Amino acid sequence: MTGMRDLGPGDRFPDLGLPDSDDNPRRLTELAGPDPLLLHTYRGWFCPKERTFLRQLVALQDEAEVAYTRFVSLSVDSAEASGAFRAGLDARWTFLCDPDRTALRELGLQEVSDTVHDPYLSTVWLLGPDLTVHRWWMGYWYWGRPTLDELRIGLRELTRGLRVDWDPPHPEANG
Amino acid sequence: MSGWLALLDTPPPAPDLVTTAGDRLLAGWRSADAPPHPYARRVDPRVLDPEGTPAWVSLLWLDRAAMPLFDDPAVVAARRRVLAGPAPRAVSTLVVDSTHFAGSAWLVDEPAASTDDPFRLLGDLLLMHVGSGLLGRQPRPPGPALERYSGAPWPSDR
Repeated sequence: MTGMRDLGPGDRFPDLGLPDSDDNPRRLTELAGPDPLLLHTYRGWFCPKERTFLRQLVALQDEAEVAYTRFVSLSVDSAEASGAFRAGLDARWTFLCDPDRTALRELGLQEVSDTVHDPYLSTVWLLGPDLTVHRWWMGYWYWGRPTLDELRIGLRELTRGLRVDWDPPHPEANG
Repeated sequence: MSGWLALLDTPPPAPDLVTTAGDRLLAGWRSADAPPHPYARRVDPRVLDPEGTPAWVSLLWLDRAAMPLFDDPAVVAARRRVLAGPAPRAVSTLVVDSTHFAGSAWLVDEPAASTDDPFRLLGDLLLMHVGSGLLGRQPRPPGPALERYSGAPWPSDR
């Protein structure tokens, strides 16, 4: 497989199958449904940069709630650790768990400089329902991550391309 | 696919699925587009499963005169807690039209877990042991999106 870091707009992200923090088997396409998907890979609960960024996503979730937009976060944390972390954040989206690092190796997103935790690199992806890449960010350095305004702009562009009624019907269309 | 659920005292003429629920009957239909029974309410079809094992259901079956709007802040708050709190075996809201919240079905394996039902603040719940052959398992919906498509019973995607 091509390394994920080589993917660009229009390429397809793999339809990963992994357990969630409730230990249910999930697939990315099932989680996306018919909506835009924000996929976030992160180092783990232990990382202060991740906690800071996840609190940003929590701040965005009230908007995503009414904007037909879904989030998924993915790490090597266990289901128990992810569930507790998710609850502590008051996050209302799905956390996927890859403690065996199966998908991590497949995706080529391991952070090789951390030999203690062997975690995911921090990346953020905006994907269409079919997992077509709209845009992505590398967050190895914190400032590489998108701001909430960059995410809003990206999700606007992505949603505009998905919704045929982005420009709603005009009154004369009803006769 | 559409799903329907009806809480009845007597067996309906042609249910796809039916089982006991306490001293009453729960009937399910998985394909009808129109209401298959006068008392049937739409449900996420993914919670109906002919292979389903017995379950406990915390059922909120609101009278029509007491149904809040689906977008009522209390209903939205309960759905947020579904996403954030302890996960059920399966969950669906119930609808009778495109705008009103007609109730909910919160499925768990153990009756003690029914106290986690976030819809308990919206009305009096019926806690019933439901026999096999009706209710399955469905992971809680992905979030944070809560909006529905075309008045479908949340969390159905369509």
